[in-house]
Amino acid sequence: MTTTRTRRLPDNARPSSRLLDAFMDWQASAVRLTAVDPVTTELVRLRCAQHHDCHT
Amino acid sequence: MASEAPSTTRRLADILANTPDVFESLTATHAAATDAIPTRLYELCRLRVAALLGTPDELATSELDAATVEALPSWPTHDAFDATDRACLAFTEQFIIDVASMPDDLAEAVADRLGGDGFANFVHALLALEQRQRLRLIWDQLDIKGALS
Repeated sequence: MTTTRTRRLPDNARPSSRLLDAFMDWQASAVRLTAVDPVTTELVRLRCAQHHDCHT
Repeated sequence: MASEAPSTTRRLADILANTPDVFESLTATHAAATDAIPTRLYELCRLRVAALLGTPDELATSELDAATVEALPSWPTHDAFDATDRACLAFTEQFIIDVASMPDDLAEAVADRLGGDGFANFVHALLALEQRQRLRLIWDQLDIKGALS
């Protein structure tokens, strides 16, 4: 089912750059890990995207 | 500075001992998140997340006074909580239970109270504290003793 939502944030609303940069570093460092094979990693990424309703 | 159960902090550090880049960036995210929103809001939401997820020790650690912590399960009606608290706690509960079904009105209520930038900071801070508790819970469930390789 596709849900259409209104925009929730004004265009110019941003989190603090320190917080955003920290998140980017954290996510990048996790993605660089190699213990999990690429197929499993992609399956997890897609499942997380579904859970979070993320379309990017 | 908002708090966290020492056992959660230790668990994350122990598990990530062999992956310093991950640990350091996770720690930096935590520090940035705790500074990005008021301590009261961070603590209310951290404790509510802990109650919903059953995170060990978190409820015993708080910067809030004991009466506020005790009243937290009754946040929708208890007079210890104002409109900002209630907006953020309602958003937090939906975020933890089913984030993909977050209704617009819960998001708008937080944005109305905190402003656009404040709302963006709040959601990121909430994500940061949720991730820490879920990671701790998962690693506890898997009964991992040492550091991940």
